[in-house]
Amino acid sequence: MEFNFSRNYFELFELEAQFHIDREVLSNRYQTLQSQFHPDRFIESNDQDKRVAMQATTFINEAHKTLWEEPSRARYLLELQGVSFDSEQDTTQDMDFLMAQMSLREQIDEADNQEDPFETLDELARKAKQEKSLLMENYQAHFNAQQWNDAKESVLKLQFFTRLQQQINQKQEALEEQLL
Amino acid sequence: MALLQISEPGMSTAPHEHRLAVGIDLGTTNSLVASVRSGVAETLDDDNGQALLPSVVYYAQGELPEVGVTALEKSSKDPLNTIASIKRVLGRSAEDIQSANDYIPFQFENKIDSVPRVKTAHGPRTAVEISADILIALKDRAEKTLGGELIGAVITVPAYFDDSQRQATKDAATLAGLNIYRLLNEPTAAAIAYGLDQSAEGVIAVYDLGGGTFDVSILRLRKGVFEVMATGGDSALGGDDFDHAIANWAIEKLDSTIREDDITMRRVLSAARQAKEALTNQSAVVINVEGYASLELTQEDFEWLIEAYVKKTIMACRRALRDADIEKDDVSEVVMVGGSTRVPLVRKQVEKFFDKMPHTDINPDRVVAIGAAIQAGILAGNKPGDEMLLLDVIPLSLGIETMGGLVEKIVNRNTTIPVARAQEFTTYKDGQTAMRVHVLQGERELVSDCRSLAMFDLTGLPPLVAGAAKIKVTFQIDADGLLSVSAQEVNTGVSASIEVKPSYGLTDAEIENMLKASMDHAQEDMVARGLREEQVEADRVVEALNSALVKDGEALLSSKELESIMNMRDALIEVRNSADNVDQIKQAIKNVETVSEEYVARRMNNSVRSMMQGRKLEEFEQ
Repeated sequence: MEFNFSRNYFELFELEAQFHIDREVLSNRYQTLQSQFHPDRFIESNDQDKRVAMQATTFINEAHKTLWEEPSRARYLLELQGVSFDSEQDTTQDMDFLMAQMSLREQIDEADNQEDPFETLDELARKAKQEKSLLMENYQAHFNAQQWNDAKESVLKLQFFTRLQQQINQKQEALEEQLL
Repeated sequence: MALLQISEPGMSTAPHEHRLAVGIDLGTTNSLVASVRSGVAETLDDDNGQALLPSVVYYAQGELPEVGVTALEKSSKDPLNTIASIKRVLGRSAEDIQSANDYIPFQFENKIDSVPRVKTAHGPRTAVEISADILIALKDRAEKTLGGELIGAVITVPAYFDDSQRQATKDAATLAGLNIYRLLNEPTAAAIAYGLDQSAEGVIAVYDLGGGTFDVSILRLRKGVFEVMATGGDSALGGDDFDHAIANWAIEKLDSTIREDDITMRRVLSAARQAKEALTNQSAVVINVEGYASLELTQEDFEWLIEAYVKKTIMACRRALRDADIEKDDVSEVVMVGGSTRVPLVRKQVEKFFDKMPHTDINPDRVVAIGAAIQAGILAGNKPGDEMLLLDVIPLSLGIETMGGLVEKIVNRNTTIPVARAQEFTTYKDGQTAMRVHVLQGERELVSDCRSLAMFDLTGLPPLVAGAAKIKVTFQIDADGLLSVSAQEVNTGVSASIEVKPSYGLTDAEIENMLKASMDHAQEDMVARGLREEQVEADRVVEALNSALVKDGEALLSSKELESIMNMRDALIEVRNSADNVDQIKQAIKNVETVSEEYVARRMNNSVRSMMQGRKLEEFEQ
């Protein structure tokens, strides 16, 4: 069996390399590729083919996950343009933004003390979603104008919201466990 | 030897031959085996027409282990040699078992050891060995019924099983002489069983409450592809807890010293189970324990006793929906699995939560085995036109320990597998040549709250200034959800040697020892496995050498040196392909290593030099 690992993720799924994609089409192509390359299709094959099948589906899964979520898709598009991200050091320098993030995080931590902690968390999640979609619009405007650095700034900020959402989920789970 | 019969796809020598493959539901309370016969998946019965094999093993001195009903009958006579519910401790450490605080109906050896061993008349037995005895009984039944040797099996595990529990299940199968095609999540198997009759598209929630485990899975079925969107549950919650709740209630009312008497304790438990079953279609039941007054248990009291457990399962459903990023309304079907879903309160609560009538048409005890059999048939190639495919996820997040006892997540739960993640580590001391990596599984932030999977040392790092060595560690999770780790020093390309020590569970060596001690063909299996591992090692060495030679072989070596390295390499390839002896391959690898020693040293020096140069340049720029 053969699998071409040198394609980029958009090429892999035969999609145009742009921010707007049809998730339905992505899902369909993903499942078609999985049907071809999943290790279950090579259960009686030799070890070499089994290994390639595992690597191919690993690649397909990674590609799908990257394009499925908007923040990772936005970042990947920039990487294709040669913009590099260093996860250790790259972060936004926008102090107002960082302060706002800190305040959001504090509100999550203190949700316990609210009358209805779950409602507080839901409200925070809604707020985060709104700000996220604003950032996404900014990103697209900058990306279309080929202002890579500004687009990168939006992506770095988006990553904060991904983490924020995770924190909200964790908090919800912790609260649920307390209820039991 | 099956391992040596490698056939190219589409070149099967006997295309019409029906290959005997089975699905096995290795349950906490009962186990089943099923197979597709004449196009229909059905469970296989024993000589007495029973499909359910109680997951109970009885060890009598000087006799073969007894499994199933006959073993169960021994439980009140000789409780300590009758092992039940072994699945609860499969793949668990002694520490886990103590902290679970359950009533475990058998005794462990006192010896402090990473692998808990149960005391029996056959001496100490691990959970893997006891599970293997159950699997052997099922295998024998299947081979007798189907009239031939099995070529493969799909074994189901709770979706919530972590890496060590999955590995332990696989080890038990190996020990039982089964060729494992795939470990399959139980809820997914159930959905497959239902998928046969109803070619529905949509989102399916599978609620699986068995004897000892609870799982909920959210699946998407579309165009023949089952995609697991999320799973959740609790690997230590099930119908047994209902029995214990009733038993505890009864003991409080009768006599609390019963707890100290194993035999009476078992009687109370079995009376509790009968009461629970009777309450499926009665509003009250009378509990009788020999030598004590009768007690009446009403449906209402029973529901009060188990309410907290049922609530916990509903909470897990809510969480799974959130992980799948869908709403309750998006769920189009709800499937009920596991004997404990017969409890009226469970049905009521599930129906209320999803606001839908759950599917209960297939016998909830058998549905998992039937689904596994269908999957086994497809994997064996018995249904060539079948396009059904299963995309599974990792049930628990995978992370590594960072400074301060915190866990950094590398792969989040519910990521589709197979998946690989690379992480770069660096040294923090000058001249550091080794580094320890601690892999954990779980959702919590603290190391102490997660499950320790493996601890390994990266050794043979080039001794550089702190922070200069970059080690890329790749975590690969295969389609069974099992983890393997490889590491490479980024600058030199040298693969660091990794010794993976399971924090608990059985080491490969221990399993090999068990294999040696067990069946006749164990010897063959082991040799083949050792050979295959050595061949993989040989491939790795050749690959690493080739990629190094491409980079700087000509720059660092004289043509004569290059030639002798290549000769040794070709000799290794030759031996790898022809030898049937591990030692020959080992020797050939060693030869390659010896002849390239000088080359490796030069590469190392070269890299140190370039690194130091890079450093000076940086400082100069500042």
